[in-house]
Amino acid sequence: MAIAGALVIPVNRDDEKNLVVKLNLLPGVEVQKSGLRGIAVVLEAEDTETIKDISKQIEQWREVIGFELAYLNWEELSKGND
Amino acid sequence: MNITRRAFVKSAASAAAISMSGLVSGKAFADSAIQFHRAQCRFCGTGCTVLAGVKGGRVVSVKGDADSPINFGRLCMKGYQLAHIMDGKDRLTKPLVRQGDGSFKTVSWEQALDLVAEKFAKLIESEGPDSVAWYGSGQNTTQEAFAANKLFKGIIGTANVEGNPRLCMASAVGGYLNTFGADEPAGGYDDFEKADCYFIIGSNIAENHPMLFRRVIDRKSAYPERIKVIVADPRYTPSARYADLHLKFKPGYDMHLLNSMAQVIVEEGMVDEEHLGYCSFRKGLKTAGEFTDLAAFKLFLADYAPEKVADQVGVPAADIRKAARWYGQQGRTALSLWCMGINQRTKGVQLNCQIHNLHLLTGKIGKPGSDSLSLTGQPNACGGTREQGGLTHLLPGHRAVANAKHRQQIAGIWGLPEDRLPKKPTGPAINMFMRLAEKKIKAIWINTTNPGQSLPEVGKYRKAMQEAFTVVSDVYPGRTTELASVILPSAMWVEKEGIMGQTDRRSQFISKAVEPPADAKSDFWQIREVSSRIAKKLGVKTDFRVLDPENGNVKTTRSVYGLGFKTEKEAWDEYRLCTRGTDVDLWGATYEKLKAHSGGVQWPCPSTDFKNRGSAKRFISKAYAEEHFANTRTAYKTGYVTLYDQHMQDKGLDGPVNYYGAHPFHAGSKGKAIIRVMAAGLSFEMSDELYPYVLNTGRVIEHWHTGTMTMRVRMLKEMNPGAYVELSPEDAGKLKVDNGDMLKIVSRRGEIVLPAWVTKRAQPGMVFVPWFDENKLINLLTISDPKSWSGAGEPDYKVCAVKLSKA
Repeated sequence: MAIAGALVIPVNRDDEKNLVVKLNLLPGVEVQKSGLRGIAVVLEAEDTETIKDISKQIEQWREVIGFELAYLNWEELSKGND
Repeated sequence: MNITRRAFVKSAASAAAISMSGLVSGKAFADSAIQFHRAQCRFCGTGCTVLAGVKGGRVVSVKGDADSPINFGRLCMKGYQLAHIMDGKDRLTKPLVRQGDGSFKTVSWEQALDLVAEKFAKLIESEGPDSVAWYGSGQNTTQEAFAANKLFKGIIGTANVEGNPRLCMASAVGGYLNTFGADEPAGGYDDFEKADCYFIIGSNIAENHPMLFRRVIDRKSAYPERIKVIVADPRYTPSARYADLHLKFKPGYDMHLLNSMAQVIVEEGMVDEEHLGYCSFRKGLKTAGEFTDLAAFKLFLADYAPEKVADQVGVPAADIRKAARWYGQQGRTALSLWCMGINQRTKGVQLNCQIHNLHLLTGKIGKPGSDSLSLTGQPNACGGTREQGGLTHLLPGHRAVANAKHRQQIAGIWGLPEDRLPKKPTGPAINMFMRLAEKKIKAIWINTTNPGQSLPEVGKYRKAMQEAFTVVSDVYPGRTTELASVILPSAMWVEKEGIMGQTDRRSQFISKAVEPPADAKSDFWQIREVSSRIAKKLGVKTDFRVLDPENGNVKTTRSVYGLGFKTEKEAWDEYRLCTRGTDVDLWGATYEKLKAHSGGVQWPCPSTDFKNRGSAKRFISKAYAEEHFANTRTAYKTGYVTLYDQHMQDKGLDGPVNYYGAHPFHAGSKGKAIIRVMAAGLSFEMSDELYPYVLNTGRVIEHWHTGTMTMRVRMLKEMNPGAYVELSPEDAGKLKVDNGDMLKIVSRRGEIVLPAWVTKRAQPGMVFVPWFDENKLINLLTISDPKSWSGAGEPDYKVCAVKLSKA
């Protein structure tokens, strides 16, 4: 299990609302906060490779100018309430 | 509250992401046991102010300083990982000496320092001072660089002092000197919030100076129609993706592009006639060419009309015109930003001058929002090297080795006889390594840099380093330590105290927050200890002057073997004295001020008044400053700043705009800026039939320079674990290469095999390879031929010819 925190920077402020919707539709992605300076998201996936794939995917969106990872944890974590 | 580990990790991830935006959540750093120490980021030349959180003697968290006028509390991906750069498992912690069988043996500091001093002193005595050398870094603190300069140029008496800023910023220095007669920009970061047009050329600012790019985004987001972002770059980088206009020129054809923009500006009447009163025109660089005028310049530019050069440049004529208009329209401000794509080029100095030309023609300089601002690559390239004089031809305070008066001034402050100082420079960095290869230099001390990976045509010079007596001070083993005779383990970042100077004439304080691991020691301590040993062996005493902090008068003098100053603060005070009365006046940058003010001080700062933080602009008169910058305190968010360059009044110069013109390159200018008239030229090695592609090298967002620090941060390594080659879809089709296929790249100097990344970032006919990967030395392929250097001795890392084949 890997969990990451990242900042997604939209190209235009006008894109922000649509981008939040689009991000929330991605499996494993949760938008935490959005504002003038970007959209803070948490990514959760099976492994870091998948996190990388998701981040590459987001980075390629035309509405996105930057995807900056702030935190990455890949210790053994159960999805359950352990 | 019962919280699962998974929920805790998610909460930490969320807090980190939110705080990265500068909007620190209340919970993110709520641990009251954490003590925060102010410092500056260790990576790029932006100089973001950070707060290093210490708990139990370790840095456990890092956050952006919300009070900072540079990054406003935000940090980038690398900055956020600063806490982890010190924790690599293979950290060097003991001095090591190479044995006859090639292995390294751990020794005590006494043994290591004695060995270094003995070897250097013997060589100096038997073969002269030029048999030894120092190769430092834009990552040394200013005190370290100053100490090394005093040791080598003062105590030893050699001009063999160079550093890696030669490979990154020398062309920018040449540009400023040729145009303004003084190094470093007129404006600074405050201009970001006043600019109407950003002209970004040869810089992937989105990845390499991310916090400055955020300021561009903020401005553009606030005024999307008015603000225009132009990016000129052969690659379709994230910066280019954001731009309103991407000028995707063919690699090597930017001189044509810049002359073409100048042509439109002149032809379409966007010249500021009043401002031209403060400028002159001169053919070529330095003083060889004759002075000319606007009419002749207009005639000269006729050959560069967009319609004439568009095919050659690879940019539609209409786009060149559009860029020139967005930039040049009167009543709008313009901020130019550039970095290695301009500097690391055969024509690097000319390119820098051409960028300044556009500002001078349009009068877009010395005004709020307008500046010709060269971005620096390293956190102290400006402070430790350009200002302090960490290159062969320089002395502290923008002084010259070849100038007798300057030597006299510095010898006086250093407390050394004037005749100990070298009278002329030896040679720039690559020349120094050439002399190492020729065994003219027999011992070299490499400090805080990794030339075994970063020099062009590195294979040649790796052998030279291995065969010489090479001392390497570093924090981790790497491609240079493996060549060393002696390895000295260094403290890093907040394990030591120091001052660093950035892009916009700014100096900031880094406070020591934690102890270095085991026996690692600060580079300042290392230089001080070696200095006293060498000085004793050579019998050279220094008359160190203890100064009155208020007025700089000498309180007492002590005669010692060595540098004289014992602490970083004493070294800084001596350095401040070196700058007093020069254009880089840091006399007012006292320790107390630097410690207290987030974002530090911008020179010139002659005043020791605690509230005075120096000059946000220079080359302007008091009257002009009062008229145009009256509301700066609020608008620029920099706190109290002095906007008037006090030297101007002292020298009896008036405004509204004027220039120093003190440098010999600027002779005959009568205090005016010089618009350089230069025919477009190409890089040393363009593609040809045998080598039909252009190789471009550079940095990526995840890693910094040779990856010594960032490849030890697991998150950054996971995100970008190794080098690759960017290849255009068109070329991939021709070569029948898919993503991940191995591609062989061959230049006239070497070859390498790398996985391909097929991407529209690359344009047909060019490839890009990052240089952070120590296992894939792309610099085996790059050029070090002196004919490829810019006029400032900087090699060309951006354009060399290669051929490609599927491996």
